[in-house]
Amino acid sequence: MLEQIAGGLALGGVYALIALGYTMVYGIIELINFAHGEIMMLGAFYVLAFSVSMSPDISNAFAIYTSIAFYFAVDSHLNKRFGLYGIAFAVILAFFFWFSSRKLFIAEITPLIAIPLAVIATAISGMALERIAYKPLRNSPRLAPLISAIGASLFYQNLAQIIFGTHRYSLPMAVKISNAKILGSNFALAPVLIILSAVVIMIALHLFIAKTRIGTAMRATAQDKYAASLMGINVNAVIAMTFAIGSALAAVGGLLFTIHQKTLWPYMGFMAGIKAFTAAVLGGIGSIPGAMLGGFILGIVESLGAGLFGEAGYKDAIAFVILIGVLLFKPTGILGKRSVIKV
Amino acid sequence: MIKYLKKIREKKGKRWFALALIFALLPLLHLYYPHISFRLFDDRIDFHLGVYSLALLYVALAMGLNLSIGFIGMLDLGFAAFVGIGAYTLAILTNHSTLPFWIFIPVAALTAGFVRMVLGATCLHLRGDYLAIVTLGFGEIFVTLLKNNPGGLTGGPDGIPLSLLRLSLSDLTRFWLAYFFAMLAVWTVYRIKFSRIGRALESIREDEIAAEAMGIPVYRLKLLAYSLGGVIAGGIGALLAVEVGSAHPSNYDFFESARIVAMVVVGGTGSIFGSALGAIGFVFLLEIFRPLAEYRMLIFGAVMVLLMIYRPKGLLETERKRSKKKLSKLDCQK
Amino acid sequence: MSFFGMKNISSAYGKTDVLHGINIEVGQDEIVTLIGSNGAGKSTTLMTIMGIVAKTCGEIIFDNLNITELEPHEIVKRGIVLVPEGRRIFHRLTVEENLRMGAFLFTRHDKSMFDKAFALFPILAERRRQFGGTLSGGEQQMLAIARALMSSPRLLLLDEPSLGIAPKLIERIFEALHKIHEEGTPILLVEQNAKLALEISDRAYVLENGKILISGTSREIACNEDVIKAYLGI
Repeated sequence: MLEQIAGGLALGGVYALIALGYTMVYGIIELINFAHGEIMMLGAFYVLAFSVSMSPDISNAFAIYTSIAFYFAVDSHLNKRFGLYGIAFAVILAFFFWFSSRKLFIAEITPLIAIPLAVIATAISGMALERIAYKPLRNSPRLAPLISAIGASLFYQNLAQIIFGTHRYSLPMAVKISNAKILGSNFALAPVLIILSAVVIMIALHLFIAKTRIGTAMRATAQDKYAASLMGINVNAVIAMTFAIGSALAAVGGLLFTIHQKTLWPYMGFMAGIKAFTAAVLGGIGSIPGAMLGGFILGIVESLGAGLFGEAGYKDAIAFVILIGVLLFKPTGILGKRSVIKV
Repeated sequence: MIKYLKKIREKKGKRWFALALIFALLPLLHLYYPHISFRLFDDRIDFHLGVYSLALLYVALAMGLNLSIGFIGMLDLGFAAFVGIGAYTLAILTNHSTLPFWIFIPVAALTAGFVRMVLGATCLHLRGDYLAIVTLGFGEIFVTLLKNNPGGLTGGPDGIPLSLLRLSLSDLTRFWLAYFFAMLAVWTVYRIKFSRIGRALESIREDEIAAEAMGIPVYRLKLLAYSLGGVIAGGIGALLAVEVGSAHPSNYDFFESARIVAMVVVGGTGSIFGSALGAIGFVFLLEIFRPLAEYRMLIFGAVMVLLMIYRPKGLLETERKRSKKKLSKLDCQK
Repeated sequence: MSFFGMKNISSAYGKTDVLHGINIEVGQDEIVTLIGSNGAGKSTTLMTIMGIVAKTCGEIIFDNLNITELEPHEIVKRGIVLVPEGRRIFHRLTVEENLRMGAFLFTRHDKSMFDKAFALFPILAERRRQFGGTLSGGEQQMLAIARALMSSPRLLLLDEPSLGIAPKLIERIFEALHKIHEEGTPILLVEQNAKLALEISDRAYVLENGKILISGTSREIACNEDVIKAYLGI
């Protein structure tokens, strides 16, 4: 029972981290970023690509993708000074893949370097996604960006499949962690580690949003973009940054999900993404504490539910039943604000 | 002005007539060239009657989905589930009875329509993107159910084979069945669009609150259009299962829904002819680019994004909009 | 060359032209007012200056700098700040956070700016921990003005500061505007209440159908018979 709750909390922490991305983006531009699950998958693959030497083909393809994404991420959002750094960074990144593939560099770099690099690269992907698929549609009817998001989601799934193939990979550091026990006991280390890192990250994010100047600017932009621009806030940059932060969190979520599942594969983002979205809706979409709460609740319910029904096959349906139930009976979620229909 | 309207109608009728004629002549083509095949990337691409019937069936499915996306502006990401309901209804019933299968096509249609009506009645009041997510959730629950084989009915992850039924019908019979039902679906949707109800639905899509204020029974009409989509999905789903030769859970998952959404979107939401062309084009292109495997879906995703950015109304703009523009110009000249 | 000048500006919402060749100047120590009826293009003029509504031709010069093509946030950086119509304060930020957003471009917080704002509108000091949405209309307007002043603007634009506010508070607000002007900030004011606006301002423009009809010192305008008939309601 305790193991199950720990497992559920760990899964919930992962959902919560991914849900934060959904909720932040929804809070600021009222868009369901359908491709967010795929961003999380990319994050996991970035960790893989940075920490294990891949075949040259894979490395080259991934390096090319990253450079293109970087170009779009810096394009027009940030000032030109940054653009120059961006190109330099892209070149370094490309070389990095190249070297690591040929074992000329270091065969396996430490997680301490691989994880931050992967987080940055995923944030870049998120910004590129926003720049290409959502920014041109900011003033279109609501369904247009949603369809565009579905298109982006299919694109990323198949891109990952083309680059990495359909089979499952295992991440050495994830395997190491998921086999480890807490010192001198029988209790698995992984859930504790996952919960701890998720909670720490969420507290950090909360402090960032609540206390800092940029965080306040994000809240201001979410409330009133026009007024925010009159304050001298660069609304486009704030939106891009929201995507960057959400994607960075998704990358961490992807890594933790990989630790939890012990493997990673190109379609991992779809189901996890929808479940994380469920968590966001459950907690109240647009609300950051709500996403955390929703994530943990969903994780526990899912793991207890699977144990209770004794049929693991129905496990995936639990999240959807909750999703539909919440949307029908309390669409604002647990902590959400009531949204007013504007006439 | 009336004369002008008639002219437009005639022109549109001609377009449809041409399309219907082309498809009616395909069996003739089949007679002389049973397999149109060519090589692409070292693979043999083969066009035969099966592909044509598939295209026809997808035309009908696009009609059904267009009833919700195009007519009332409700994105549906679980449409394939209703196709699946039709398919499984037919598969289960034919496996458990000795009656001829075609009796079950209306049963399949009505079952799917009924389920869709119940779903619509509970959640049509939701806002557009929330409704999309609810339908997505519904679709996933449906697929999960199928895979778990409740009561030993659905055959679990392997589905229910219908290959015997498929073999009992000739290719030509299946083609004409598809042809008949596709025409029926097109005709129904066409009639609705250019009727009083169609105009009411259009006003709902443009501004629900204003429509309500005009005395249009918004909820009932939305429900009508929505459930009718289910009826079409169910009937066609049954035929599709026969055509494919099985009812299999993976044929009705989210990706199938996304494919049908893409057909409608590419052709133009709200445009009947556009979504028909979208469906035909899709089926043919997917067939032609079969050797490209994942690249197909990659390109397909990218095309969806690009279309939304550059041609959000689809490759063909909606017909009604265009005719309205012309009429208003005419009115100004008076 | 005056401190701020827009020359022959036209602007459009999509394909609908709204302004047709507007020329407005504001000197370094002036309060200038724009009066006109509903839909004359007053708010549009201000939004055009801020770069929110697209310009189709003309140019805007501010302190010898061409700011025609800049983005809103860049214009704010140059020192032009708009207090928008309907206040547009951030309802779910506290009063203090609202003020802090006003000083967004100053990375280092200057406590004296807060003191200045609270000296101008003491009521805000009492409410500094409250959410902006809980303030009354007049208080919100004060907050909006104080927020705009947080970045020490070099030109203050105000859009209908008296709209929907109790008469007593309107007086207070206009006193504050007077004080702001005394301290050396030029003001471009858009106001429905023409009488009030003409009293406080040095010069005025009368706008109609997106064109400037009459311009001159406030006294001249206040004596103009057409203006009296149309806007002063006597």
